[in-house]
Formats: sequence, C-alpha cells, structure tokens
Amino acid sequence: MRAVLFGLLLILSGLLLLTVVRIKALHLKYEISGLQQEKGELMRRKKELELELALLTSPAEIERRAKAELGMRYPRAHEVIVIGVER
Amino acid sequence: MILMGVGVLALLCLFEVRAFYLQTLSRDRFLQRAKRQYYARVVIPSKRGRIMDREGRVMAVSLLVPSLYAVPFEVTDKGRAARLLSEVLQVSPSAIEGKLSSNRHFVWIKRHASPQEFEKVRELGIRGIDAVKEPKRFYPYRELASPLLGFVGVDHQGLEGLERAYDKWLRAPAVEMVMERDALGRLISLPLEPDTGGPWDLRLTLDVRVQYILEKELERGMIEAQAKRAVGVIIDPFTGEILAMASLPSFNPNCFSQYPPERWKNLCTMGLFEPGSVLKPFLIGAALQEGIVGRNDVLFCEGGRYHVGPVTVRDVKAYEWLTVEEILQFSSNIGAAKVARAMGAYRYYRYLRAFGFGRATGVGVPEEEGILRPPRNWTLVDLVTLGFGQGMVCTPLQLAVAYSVIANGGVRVNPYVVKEMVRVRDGKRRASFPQPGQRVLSRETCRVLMEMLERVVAEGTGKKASLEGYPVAGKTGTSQKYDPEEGRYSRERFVASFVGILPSRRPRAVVVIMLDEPKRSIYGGEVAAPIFKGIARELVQYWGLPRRGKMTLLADGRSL
Repeated sequence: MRAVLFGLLLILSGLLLLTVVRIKALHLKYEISGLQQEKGELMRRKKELELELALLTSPAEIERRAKAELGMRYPRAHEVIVIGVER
Repeated sequence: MILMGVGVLALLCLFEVRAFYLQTLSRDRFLQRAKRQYYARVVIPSKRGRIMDREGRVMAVSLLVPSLYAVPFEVTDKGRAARLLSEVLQVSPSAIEGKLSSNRHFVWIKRHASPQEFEKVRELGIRGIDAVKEPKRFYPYRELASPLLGFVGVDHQGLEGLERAYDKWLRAPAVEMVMERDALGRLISLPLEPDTGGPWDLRLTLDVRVQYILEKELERGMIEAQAKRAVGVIIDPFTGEILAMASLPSFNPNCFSQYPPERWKNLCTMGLFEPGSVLKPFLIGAALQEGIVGRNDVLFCEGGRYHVGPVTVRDVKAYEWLTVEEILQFSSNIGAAKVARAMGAYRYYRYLRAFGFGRATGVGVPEEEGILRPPRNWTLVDLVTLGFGQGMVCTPLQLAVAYSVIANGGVRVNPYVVKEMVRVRDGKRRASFPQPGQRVLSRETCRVLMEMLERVVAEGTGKKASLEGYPVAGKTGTSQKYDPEEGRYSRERFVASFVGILPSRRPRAVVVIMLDEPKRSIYGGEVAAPIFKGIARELVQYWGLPRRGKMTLLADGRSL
C-alpha cells in the first residue's frame, strides 16, 4: 500500500513538474515574442531616424538653410585676395 | 438493475460511436480546425537592404508604410465611402467608387499612403476599408546620383540602376510563415526567419559630398552653356573607385514616374559620345611610348588645312610648325592626324584597346562597350580622324579610366562602384578590392605626358580650368555629333568636354566633364573647363589638399 502511495506521489510530482516547466516555457515564449516585436519596432525606428538624418544633413539642405536662415553665401571674386605669390 | 446495466452499456456504446466518429471518421476535419485555432499564417513582407555612400550615409532605405485596401462586398454605402475617401486621399470620388463597385474580393485603394492619410482613413471607420504594411523605398538625397542608384517598383523590385543590377543581393522576398498562437489570438514567440540569404546592404565608393559638388557645378555649367545634357565622372585614378557620377538632367527616384524615361538613363555608362580632342593624349602617349615622336619634335601643320583623300582636316587656327607638345597644347587636329599616320592603324588600335576603349569596364552597372572598329576596316581617313577623336564612340566612364592610366603612372584600373556588401542578418561582408590591371604606358612616358597636359591648362586651350595654387593637368575636347538623318557630321551640334587630373602631382581624382549640344559656345575650353575649375576649387577644400606656395585670404583677413 505504501509503495502504491509512493508511486502515485511520484507520478503526481512528475506531472506537477511537467506543468511548471511547460508554463515556464510558455512564459518565455511570450517574453521572446515581446522582445522580438520590440526589436522590430526599434529597427524600424532606427531606419526612420537614419532617413531623417540623411534628409537633414544632405549637402543641398545644409546649403539651403545656411543661405536662408543664417544669411551665408559664397565669397564674391572681389572679396578674395591672393597674397604671398611665389613660383 | 438489468435495465440500469443495459442503459449504462447503451450509453457507453453511444460514447464509443461518438468517439469513433470524432477520432476516425472526422479526424482530418477536426485536425484542420484545431490547427487553424492553434496556428496563424503570417506574411513577413519583402525586405531590401540599404544603399550607403563610402562614409555610411544612407542613400536608399526601405520603411514599412500603410497601403489602403477595400473588401468591396463589405462596404455598404459605396457612394458615401468613395466621397469620404476622396477627400482624404485627394483622388476623384468616381475612381474610388469604381474600385468599390468591382466584383473582386480585394482592391487596392492607395498603396504606400502617408501616415497622415492612414490615420484619417482609420478615423473614418468605414467598414470594409483596411490597411496592410508594405515596404516603400525612400531616397533621402532625392535627385543626387539618381541615374546611378535607379529605383524600385511598387512591389519593391529593382527596375533601374544599382537597384536593378544588385536586385538579387538587395532584395529578400516576402516569406509566409506558420506561427503558434494562444486562445486570445496572440502570437506566441515569432520563429526565426528562414535563411533566404539576403538582404545585403550595399556600401558604395561614392562620396555624397563629392557627388553634390559635381552635380551642383555641372548643373550650373549646363545652364550657363545652354546645353541639352551634362555628364560628369570623378574617379580615383589609383584604385578605380568611382567617387561621383552624374548625368543631368536627372530625376527624383521617390517619384520617378513623373519624369520622362530618358532621364532615368545613366549617361556615364550608357551614353555614347565621340570623344574628340580629349583622345589626343592617348595618341601622343602611344607615339612617345613607341618612340615614333619625341616631345620636342616639330611637325608642319599645313597652315590650318590638310587634305587627306577626299576630306580636309582643319585646325581652329592656321598653325605652321608645332612641336608635339604644342600639338596637345593648342589641340591641333592636323598635327594629331600626322602623328596617327606615323603610328599606323594596327598599333594605334592596340593602344586604344589597352586604354580600355571598345570594351566594357566591368564596373558592375549596365554599360555600353562603345564602338571601336577593328583596324582591318579602317581607311586612311578613318585613321587620321581617329587621331583627333572622331570616328569612334565611348562612354564618359571609359574616358575616366583611360585618363587614370596617365594619372597613375601607366596602369589601367578596373573601375568599381560597390565597395562592400554587408549581409543584414549576420554582418557577413563581401568587399571589393582594387584590381591591378594591365600596364599600358611606362612611368616615364606618363611623366612627360602629364607635364604636357599641365601646359594645356597653364598656357593652352584649357586655361579656364587652371586653379590658383594647385597644379592641374587636363585636355579640352570639342567633337561634332554625327547626324544619322543627313548621313554626315552636324555643323550645329557638338559635344564639349574637358578631362582634368587633380592635382597633377600625386593625383587624387580624374574628372570628366561632357556637355551635350552647348549653345553659348561649342568649345570644351570655354564651357567645360570652367565647370572643372568650380569642382576642383571645392574638392581641394573638402579634401584639405595643401596649396603650393600661395595663400588666399578673404578681404577681411581670414584664410579661405
């Protein structure tokens, strides 16, 4: 009788362990799924930022803003002096 | 008791029959139903690698954007839906109503909608209208290098330029996958994506800043010269790396369909031009190499008119006696014709081939080989006209490669535009390295030739390319265009060109400038050389090249 009870206890323990392991695995799967989605979202955001960076740092854009917002321009011919000419 | 026993037995039998029905007869049907409940089909959209310049600046990137679609039979009030959608999407209501009235189960309303449009449509809450995320290609530098980059179609496939040539590397196709889901329909753990190989990012040899300088100056020069088209190439003469490549007028690849298809063509590799006088240095170089002429040998230039069979070769000015060096300096056609005669057809052809004319460069994008007929078909007229660059056609890139031979001390380089490919998944790299090519001229011949080309810029036809403080070598060119309708060379249509080497001591770049059908002046020295100067002036500042013995200050005392 004791042996039967011990056997049943063993089986129940095994089943309990199996259930705990399966639940843990399921939680891990949810966690991985969440992290993968987060990674995908971050990758997408990174690409958007790269695009924005390229748009803002394009030479044409910098030149346009330097002229329009800072009033900059290229020096005119008479504003350039050549000194120390030697052959 | 017996009755109860029979009842239990009957119940058990009923259970058995039901179990048999479920487990055996309807097994497949229920298995399918269970699978549908446990698993979901998920489509991972096609991916496309980025295209970057040599410094890692992103020139082309794909992002997921919403595409709006309709399930027509679910849309109840089609007229109202069409009216509401047309206000948001700026499309005629009749066009949308036509789509909504179709018998199909699925119709696109607008592919690649903007996030604002998507939000507004979502707020409308029209039943039967929904969106999926689709990849869309963005080109942040807009027109910059667009004929080289090319573009992709609405289904993300490469249609032109590098996008097409490297499509199999850049593109990873859409993948449909089966994934586990829970009772609430949430996906449980995204599986690892299958190894489809790609996509790969492309890292080019191009430099966005150099490209911008080239395009800005080229466009300015094209407008000033009232030219039909303009082409420019900048190449590193030692490695063959293409630093910039422009073909104007170009297009914005973000909305390529709004431009005529002829603008999509990369004229640097696909445009064929008769080189004209920019070919003369190769003739003179070959003749010096073969010992046919010496630098200071004197040739009689016939006072400006030289009869060869039925044709008369003319010079712009009536020259009498010119040294070989002066033939280049003043770009004498008659002098070049005489050197070509002395050279002979077979020898001259062999050199032209060695410089890379009449053969593909292997740059990795669609290109023309040019036309250089074999010498057995040449007449004397063909030989002398080839002496000054008429009677053959080449691409601007072939010219850049040929001048690189002179600039690097005599070796032909193999040009390339893709510096490296990096696999997105694991960072695996496939790099391109400079491939040493065939020696064409000796170092000594190149040194002499470079000095001659320096004089072309300092004192000859290329004066407008000279840059204060920096030694520059180069050659001007003006070629007549062949008119196939009239069957002869046109007297109105010309190609003006200039090829420069910057600086001529320890060169950093070979720059090819070609203007197609300029109106203000037809001469390369007048319209193409100043473009080179503008480019060179900015490049020396960008690269920080040291000046030679001079200092330029701004009027207020700051150095430039």
